Amino acid sequence: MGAVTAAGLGADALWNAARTGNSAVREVDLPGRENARVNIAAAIGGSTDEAIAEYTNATTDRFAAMTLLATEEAFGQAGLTQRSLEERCGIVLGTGAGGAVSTDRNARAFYVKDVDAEPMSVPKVMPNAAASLISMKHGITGPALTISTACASSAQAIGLGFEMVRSGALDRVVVGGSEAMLTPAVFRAWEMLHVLTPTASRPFSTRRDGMVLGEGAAIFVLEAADSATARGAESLAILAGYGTSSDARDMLRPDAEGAARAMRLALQSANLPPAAIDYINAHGTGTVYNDLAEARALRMVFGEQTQTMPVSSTKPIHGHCIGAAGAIELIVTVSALHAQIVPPTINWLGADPKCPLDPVPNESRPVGMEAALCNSFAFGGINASLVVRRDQR
Amino acid sequence: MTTTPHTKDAIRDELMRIIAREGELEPERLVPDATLDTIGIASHDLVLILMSIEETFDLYVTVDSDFADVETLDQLLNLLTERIREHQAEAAAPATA
Repeated sequence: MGAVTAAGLGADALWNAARTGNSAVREVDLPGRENARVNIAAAIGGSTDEAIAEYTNATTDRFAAMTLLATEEAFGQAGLTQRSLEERCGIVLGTGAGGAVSTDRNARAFYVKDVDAEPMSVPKVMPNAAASLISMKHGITGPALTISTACASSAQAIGLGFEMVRSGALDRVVVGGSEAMLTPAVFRAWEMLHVLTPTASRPFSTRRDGMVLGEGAAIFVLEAADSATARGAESLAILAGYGTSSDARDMLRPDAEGAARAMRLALQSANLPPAAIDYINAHGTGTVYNDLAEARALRMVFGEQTQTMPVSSTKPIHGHCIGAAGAIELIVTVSALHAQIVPPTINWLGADPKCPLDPVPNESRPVGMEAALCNSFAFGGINASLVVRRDQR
Repeated sequence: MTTTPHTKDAIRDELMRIIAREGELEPERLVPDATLDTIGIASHDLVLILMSIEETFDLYVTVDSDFADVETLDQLLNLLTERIREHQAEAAAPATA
């Protein structure tokens, strides 16, 4: 697996930040936003930005550059360093906005005319750019797809890739997602929804008042057990199940029943009872309505177990990366399983009686875990849950 | 050009006008005891209402945990009025370090 986030380059940098409760959220100074109501985000900067810049060029937008970077790490770790033509390998990635930075630039070039137009705008902004660039760079000739379902994009991409391998259609699939949409205009669009916190994101906490945006990419190589064993690949975990559902209710407000359905389907897909889950990495945006609905949904699926089972949201660490959220949070979940440590929900001030659960407040906790579940719930009422297990071998 | 409402009643009246306009509701439907669901104030209406408050009162109201307790129109009006008055009091007498 591989990751590029505001916490730095690499899955390890992300896990270390999550485990130690070290938030990558910072003040951002975007042009034209002098009167910004909200000016914090988990924005990538420093040496990570420079690394992304090396992959960014006339045909590669920031969101695709991040994906290529994360893929290098994932392929290196998976032992896939040689270019090979593989029909039985596919790519399924998720993104909410695709080439948002280039879209923004292209619009300015046309309407405001204060920057140069980019002839290669079309292939840069198209949401499948990341998947296609990976296919071209690594010679992958199987099916390449891109899922765009807002905050559920990469979770659904991972789930779909998982089902393609499970069905026997593919031996291997590159899955994950990326999001780079912190442009001034997009930031203001989010601000207008009045769900961004001007201070700090506090999932499941009393006095929480919204989410914080982030950007980043995370990639996994999913492989059929026979194929992985045959080439002596190191397995990090087993992706055991996937469930997805639609609320069919409201465009913005999540529904507990829809979320519960996705979790139950994921458990059925994994052939596991609720009692088998030892940790949940929540969608936990820190908005009033998500955390309420998610807490209710957890109670519907896990009942009394909700009182004692650790449920944490790491969004205050790496931000809500929208289309990349599911993939980034699965990196954290797999790392947690490996380390047998649950990362904390930081910025927690106290219990909200309407969200009765154990959010592992502010400090990580060593917990024996065999299986974990990861949630992603999107605007438009789309829900996705993934179940991951420790590889016992 | 109208001045920004400052008294509790004036603020409440302005909020009712905003809610009726942004929610596209007949004023007769705005019964204080009625729940937001029965009146027909949906999640996207709340966004438009908060946007209008931002423009009218120069105040960014985030949907925070107090909103979770709001069920009726009266409760919504009370919460928003309170926020606006707090903001206006702070603006009039800024705290010094």
